[in-house]
Amino acid sequence: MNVILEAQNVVFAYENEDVEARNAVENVSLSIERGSFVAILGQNGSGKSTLAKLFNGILLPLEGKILVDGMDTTHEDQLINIRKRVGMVFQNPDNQLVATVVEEDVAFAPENLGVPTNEIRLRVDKALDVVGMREYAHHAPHQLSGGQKQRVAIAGILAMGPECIIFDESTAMLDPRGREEIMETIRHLNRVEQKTIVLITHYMEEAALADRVVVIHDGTIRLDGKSEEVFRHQNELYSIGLSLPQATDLIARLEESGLYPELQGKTALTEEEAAVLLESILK
Amino acid sequence: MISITLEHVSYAYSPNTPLEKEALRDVSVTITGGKITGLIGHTGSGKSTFAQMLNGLLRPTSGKIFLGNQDIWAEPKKISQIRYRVGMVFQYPEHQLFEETVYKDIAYGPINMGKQGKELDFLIRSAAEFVGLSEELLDKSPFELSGGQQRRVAIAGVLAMDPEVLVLDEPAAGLDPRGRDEILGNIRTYQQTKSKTVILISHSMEDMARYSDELIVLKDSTLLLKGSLKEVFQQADIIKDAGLRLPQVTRVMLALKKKGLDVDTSVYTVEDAFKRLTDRRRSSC
Repeated sequence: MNVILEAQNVVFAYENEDVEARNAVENVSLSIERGSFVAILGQNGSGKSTLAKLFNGILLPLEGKILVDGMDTTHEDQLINIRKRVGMVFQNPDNQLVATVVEEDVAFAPENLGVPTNEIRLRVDKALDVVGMREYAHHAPHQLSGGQKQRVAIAGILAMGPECIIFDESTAMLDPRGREEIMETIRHLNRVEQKTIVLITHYMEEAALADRVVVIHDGTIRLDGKSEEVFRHQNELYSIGLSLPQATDLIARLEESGLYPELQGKTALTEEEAAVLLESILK
Repeated sequence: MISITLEHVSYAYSPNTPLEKEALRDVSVTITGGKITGLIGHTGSGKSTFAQMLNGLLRPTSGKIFLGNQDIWAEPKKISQIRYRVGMVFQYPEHQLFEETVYKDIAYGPINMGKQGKELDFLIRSAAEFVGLSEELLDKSPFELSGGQQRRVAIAGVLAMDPEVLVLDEPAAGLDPRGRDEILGNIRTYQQTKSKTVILISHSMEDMARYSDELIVLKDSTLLLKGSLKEVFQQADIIKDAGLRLPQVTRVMLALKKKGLDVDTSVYTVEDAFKRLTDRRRSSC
């Protein structure tokens, strides 16, 4: 089976809410293929972070099932295996780093998992290489920029050897360069290290880099498809408080204006794609 | 429409100790009254230190800060008066809500300033209106509200003090696209209606392009650039070197120029780019 994450008719509600409050996740079924790069979009409160937390067993479904590599998250004896398989990177890098030296921080999880010392060394070095932070191995985390701290947090997850990494708004607190660093790292993890990536974000520009985009609204899936298909549903996206990447928006508006018939049926997801399309027309 | 001027301002954390860290070095700049000035720079460039000096939360290690013509540290005992005149909205301000109702939470600042009766009530209700909080929410507990609404309550609490200058540190952080546009749009309307001076900190150059009139760029604790949005964004190389990026739509135009096309790269919003490209088509037909 080539599915790594699977939600089957999942329902979830937070406790202590009003009786009439709707469920945070309402009958969601979703399969995520091994090795894919999927972005999840939705408004604040749409249920996307709840879904992420269901996928590594931080939250458990009220109804339905979550399977991680075939393992049911409600089976407590499987939880450690599930979390080894699926790592999560959160928003605030400062809340995720625990040690006073970068390499010790990366070693923290494998140490807790009882990985042998020489194996830990290998894993830590490899993880720091992958995120491009090897030269900072002996630095203190507080000396690093936001993007660098977040890369160390990613290395800490990688050292557990996961197959899938979920990023829950991991660029929200970073400056533009930090965001770029993290997005480059994520692409590398997917393309080169063949990790399954689930990216939860409010930045349309970042979601456009994924192969597949899932849009959640009021706890249910509203759109699901290849990114270029999903971003063609602009009216629906705007109606639920989302938007388009600027490059996509520009091409869509030019197409609609009727002055650029050459753009009929064309989409651009990145600035390079938009520039290539426009170049061929304007030259 | 009051301006703020910094004259040779430096600030160091833990001065004269081995841990001394310089957060701002010899910054001289004037923040124009009655405009939205965007403050941009990489993490650690000194933006938050800069912001906290504007209302006297931090005192410069050297140099002077003027609110209008008044040296804000001329009488240090009266610095609290400056804090009422320069309102500060911190990052994730909703973490600081504490009252039983939204109304009481917004009332906290103006009550401390000595406001009461009808004037107090008016300040609270008009602040709530500016941030788009409806009447029926005023009697609710702030903790029953969504994160986005809590953010509005916290901003309203500062607006209710009717400050002459408003400083906002990442007011739209963590919000979805509609939430960002609503909050920043509310701030724009407030600024224009009341002719206030506003300083806006954000990492989103797309938001800066839409909502700010002027920009101040900090890099490594020093002032790198100050000017109109256009003057600053035209310096593409300097912006990149400062760890920042131009809006995506500007990068599209820059890529076209690089490919040898004669296009105007001084466009910073999708609307601008659309207008330039459709005008170009019309004139060539």
